[in-house]
Amino acid sequence: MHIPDGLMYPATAVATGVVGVGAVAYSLKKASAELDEKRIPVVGLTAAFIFASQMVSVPVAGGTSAHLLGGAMAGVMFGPWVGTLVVSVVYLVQAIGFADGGITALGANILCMGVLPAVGGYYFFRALTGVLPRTRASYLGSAAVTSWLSIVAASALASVFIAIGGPLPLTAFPIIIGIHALVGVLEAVISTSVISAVLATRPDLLANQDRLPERAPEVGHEEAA
Amino acid sequence: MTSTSGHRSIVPFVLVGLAVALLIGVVASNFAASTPDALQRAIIDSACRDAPDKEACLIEQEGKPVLEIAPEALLGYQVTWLSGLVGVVVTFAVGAGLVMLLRLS
Repeated sequence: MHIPDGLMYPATAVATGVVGVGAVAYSLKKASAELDEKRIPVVGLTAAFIFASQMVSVPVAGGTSAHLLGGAMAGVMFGPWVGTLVVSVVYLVQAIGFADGGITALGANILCMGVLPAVGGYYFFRALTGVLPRTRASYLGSAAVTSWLSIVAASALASVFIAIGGPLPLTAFPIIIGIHALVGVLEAVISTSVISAVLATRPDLLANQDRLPERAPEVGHEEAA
Repeated sequence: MTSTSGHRSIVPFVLVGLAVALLIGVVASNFAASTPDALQRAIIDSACRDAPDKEACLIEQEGKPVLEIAPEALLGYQVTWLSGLVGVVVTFAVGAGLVMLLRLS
């Protein structure tokens, strides 16, 4: 879904660039207050994992391929601001080092595939898990729904940028969203698998600690305490 | 890097995660699909949506602005094991470095 150079009018590129820089700056400020020592390498690790995963496109229907975006996954795992920071690093490295996503479209790409999925995904996930029972199934199910929705929402925002704020015809709008409704399934499967693995091995690293599945009290543990 | 939440070091988790990321970036990326992604597909489809002969339309559209605006670099992007290796290492370093700077400041 990376928007390349030339797919938006200059005014759109400037406007999204300014808003994107502002969003990243705000994320830096908020994240610095949230991060502790143990999360320093984990942030880098998550960015590296998302970068690697985005290199692996898999075929989906209609002669189209897709890969993980990871914005909602990062938001659910680390919170909205650290999540935004994680994916912004990925898109910055991709745009500067690998010509994947345009430099002039970096702001738009960060807004579509970073800020919207990480921030929006985080709050949507909290809303879902807030009304569901605190079970593992609810937690992972909410992560899956959030991930799917984040892709559709991101594609809708990208469509606005390139079909209204760029030269692509408006007919592209339903095509982009339609294809991404399918791509979202892939995103949901991969994101939920990763979150499930972290939940099983290092739940202490996850944000939303108040939403984690409730554990049955360990017999003998409380007696010893 | 001796994080101690719950007296558990973060190092094994990070090393295993990095190994997985490198495996994906260096090995699995070689098997990535070469078909267009959804955005590229939308560019092509929207250009040829109503054409009676889609194949001919795609060829015809090659020289037209709607496809010209999708750069060659994007449409012909090829991943290699080297870009996977460099990308994973650089992204990890930038991500962790940035957060470390934040902590220091």
